[in-house]
Amino acid sequence: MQIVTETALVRDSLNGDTTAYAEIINRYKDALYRHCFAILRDEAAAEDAAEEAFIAAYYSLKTYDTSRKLSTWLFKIATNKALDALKKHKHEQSLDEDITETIVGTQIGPHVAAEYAELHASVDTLRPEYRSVVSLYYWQGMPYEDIATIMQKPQGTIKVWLMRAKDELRKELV
Amino acid sequence: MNDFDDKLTQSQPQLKRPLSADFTSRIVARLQTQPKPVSAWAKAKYTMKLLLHKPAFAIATIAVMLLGGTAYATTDGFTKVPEFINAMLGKTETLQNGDRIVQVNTNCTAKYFESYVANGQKIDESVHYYRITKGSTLTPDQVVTVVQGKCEESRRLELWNPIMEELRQQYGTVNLGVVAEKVENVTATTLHASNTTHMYQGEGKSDDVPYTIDYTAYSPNVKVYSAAMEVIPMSALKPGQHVTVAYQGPSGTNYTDYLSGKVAVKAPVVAIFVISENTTQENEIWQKYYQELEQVRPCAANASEWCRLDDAADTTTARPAQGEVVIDGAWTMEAQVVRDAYAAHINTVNNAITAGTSMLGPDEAFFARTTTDLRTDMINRPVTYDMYVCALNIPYSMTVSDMGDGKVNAVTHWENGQDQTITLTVNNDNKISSLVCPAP
Repeated sequence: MQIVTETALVRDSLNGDTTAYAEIINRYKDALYRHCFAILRDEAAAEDAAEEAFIAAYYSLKTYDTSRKLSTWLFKIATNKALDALKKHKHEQSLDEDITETIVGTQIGPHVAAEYAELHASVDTLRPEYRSVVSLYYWQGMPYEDIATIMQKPQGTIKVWLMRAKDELRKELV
Repeated sequence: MNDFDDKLTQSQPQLKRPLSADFTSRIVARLQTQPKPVSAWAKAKYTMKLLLHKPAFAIATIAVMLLGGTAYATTDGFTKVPEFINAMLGKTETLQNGDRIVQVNTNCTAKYFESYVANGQKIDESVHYYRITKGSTLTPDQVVTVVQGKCEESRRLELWNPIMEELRQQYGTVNLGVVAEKVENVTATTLHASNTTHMYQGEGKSDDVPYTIDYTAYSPNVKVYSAAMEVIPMSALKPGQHVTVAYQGPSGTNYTDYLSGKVAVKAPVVAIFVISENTTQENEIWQKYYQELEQVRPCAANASEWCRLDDAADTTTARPAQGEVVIDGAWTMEAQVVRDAYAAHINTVNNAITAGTSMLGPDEAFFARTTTDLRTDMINRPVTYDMYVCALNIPYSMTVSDMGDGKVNAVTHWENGQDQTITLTVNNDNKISSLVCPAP
C-alpha cells in the first residue's frame, strides 16, 4: 500500500512531474468546481475558473508554504479566480428556473426541493464574498481560520460576514 | 448549529453537469507546453510584481529590520541559556548565477530540525545552509536570525507541554484540558497598570487586516513566562512583544469565540508566554522573504552544487524506502491519512459505526482538533466505536510505513511528546479492516 502525501506531490510537481500535479488536481477538482460554481452560478464559468486556478497554482507552487494546508491555498486561488471572473465578465445573473433546478438537484422530494430552491435563490442575492464564505463554511465544511486565510480577512470579519449573510437570507425567505 | 444552519449545510448545490471528463488531462496538456513552475522567467516576473506592489509600510518594515540587524542579547530570558542556542554566521559564497549561500553554525538541540525538515531526510544539525536568491536584500545576519529564532522556538515548545499540564492541573481536574492554547501571535501594544493587557491580534502571513482583543479577565494566579519559559512578573511584559495567551475554557472554544463574545463570560487568562524576539523576527523574515530564501544542502550527486533540502531529484541521496511515507508537520496531510483510514473504515468495515447517529463524518472528525483521552481498553482491539475515539486524537505528526502482509504501521507523535504506534490492517481491497490504538 503506497500512500502519497501532498508534500511529496508538491515536491514532485515542483520538479516538473505533471503526473504528480494531476493527482493534486484529481484530489481537489470537484471541490474547487463546486466552490467556483457557488460564486459564479454558472457551470461553464465555474469550470473555467477552476481550470485557471489549477494552472495558476502550478506556476505558483514555489510560493506555497508547505506548513500550511494545500487545500486552503488552492481554495484561496480558486476564490480569487472566481471573483475576478465575476468582475471581468460581469457574470452575475439572476437565478432562473434552469439554474435553480441545477443547483437543487433531483434527488430530493418536491417539498424539500422547493424549500432549497427558495434558499438558493436567496443565496444568489448575496454579495459574491458572502456567497463565497457561505460555500466555504457550510458546503466545504471549513473552519473560520481557513476561510479567513482564503478570503484574506480576519476571522472576526468572516464571522460577521456569515452572520450578515444569514440575516439577509432569513429576511429574503420571510 | 441551529435549524437554519442545518438547512444551509444540507442544501449543498447538486450540480447537474459534472466536470468535463478531460478536465485534468486538459490542464496537464496546457502545463506540458509551458515551462516548469520555477523557471527564471516566472521568478523574475513575480519579483517585479512584488516590487511594483509592495506597500510603503512593508518597505519601511524591511528598512527597520535591516537597521536593527540581529539581536542576540535579547531581553526575553534567552541570554540565560546560551548553551542551548548560539547560532553563528559561517562562510558565505556567491554562486555564478548570483545566488548567495549562507552557512550558519549552531549547537541547537537535535530536535530542532525534526519539525522543519520536510521529507524526513536527516542532515547535520550543527551546520545549516540557506540560499538567498540573486537580487534579494536579505542579509546573512537575517539568515542567522532565522536559525536562531527557530532554535529558540523549538526550545520553547519543548518546555511547553509540562507547563500546560501544570496549568491544567491547577485549574481543576474537572476542566482538564479546557485551557485554550492560543497559538497565534499576539502583540501587546498597550499595557495598563490595572493589570489589563490590551492586545493586538495579528493575523497570519497573508492576512493584512488586524483586529483587537482586549483580555480583561485575569486569574489571580496568572503567570507570565519568558521565552525561556521562566516565570517573570507581569510588569516585565513590554509593548510590542509577541506573546501566546492561555485562558481557561470553556471547552472547545478558542480565541475567536472569545473575540466574538461566544464565550459569554470572558474566561480568565491564566498564562502569558513571551515569544522571543528572534522567533518573532524569524517569522517576519519568512513571511516577507520566503520566495527568496530556501534551505539547501550540498547535492549528493555533486557536493560542489547546492540542492534544496528536500530535492527528490537528487537521487543518490538516501530516500525513504519504497512504501514508506514520512508525513511532516503540515496539518492537512497528517490529518488526511487518518481521515482516509477512518473513511475507509466507516464505509466498509463496521456498519454499526456508519449507523451511529452521533458519528461525525470524516471531514468533521478530522478537521476538528478535539482531544479525547486515550484509554487502555482501546489497545489491541478490533475496530469499534472506541477506535473512532482513538482516531479522533489527531497526532501531532505521523510516520506511515507499509509493513507488508496488508499491515500499515503508523507511528504517531502526540502532543505530549510521546511517540506511539497505530497499526492498521488492510484488506485485499486496500480498505482498513482494523485499527489498533496507542497506549495512553
